Amino acid sequence: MTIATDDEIRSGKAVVKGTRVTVEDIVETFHKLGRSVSEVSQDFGISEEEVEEALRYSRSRNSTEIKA
Amino acid sequence: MYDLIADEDIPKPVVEKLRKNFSIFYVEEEQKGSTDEEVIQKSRELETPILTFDGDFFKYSSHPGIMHITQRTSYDLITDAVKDVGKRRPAELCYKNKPEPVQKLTPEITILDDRSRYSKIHRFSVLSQLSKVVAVVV
Repeated sequence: MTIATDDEIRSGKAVVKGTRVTVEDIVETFHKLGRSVSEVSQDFGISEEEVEEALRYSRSRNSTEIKA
Repeated sequence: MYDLIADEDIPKPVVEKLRKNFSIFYVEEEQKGSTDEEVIQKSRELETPILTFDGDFFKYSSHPGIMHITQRTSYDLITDAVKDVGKRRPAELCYKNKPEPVQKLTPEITILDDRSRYSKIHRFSVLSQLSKVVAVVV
């Protein structure tokens, strides 16, 4: 699992494991700035797989919230 | 001696552009995956302000300064905004002893008011033209 939470890192927000990069950072950079997966990967020093997993994580969270 | 600590949420292209003007300690390179406490501790140790998207740093009452980027926008805009702050104080990005009069804050920035209860925080500068992007607190 690439996405993790730790109360001591970014105040417990979901981050890419082993980094301080939040899922929110990735989603905003991808959607709001229109950066590609490859560019986001380079921007934050993480793998493309980690970027894709963060995007999936965000989608699944949003889906869950909509259902709720 | 560094001018600025760039948190890990600052994209590399921004850091690379800023390095043309400033000496940057980049958390992604030096302390990847640090806790919030470790980053603020490094800031205190180096007496260097933090550039970050993370507004939660304002929970700390003692720090050399926090340059908070309040929203994601183009990398060029962020870089120019930070450089503009740097021009106001060439030797330091943040005042430590000589605060300037606080400029009028935009609605986007007033959220910082909620954090003003932390005694050491003093807003000293908000960019006029780019005020939606960067707020600086010491």
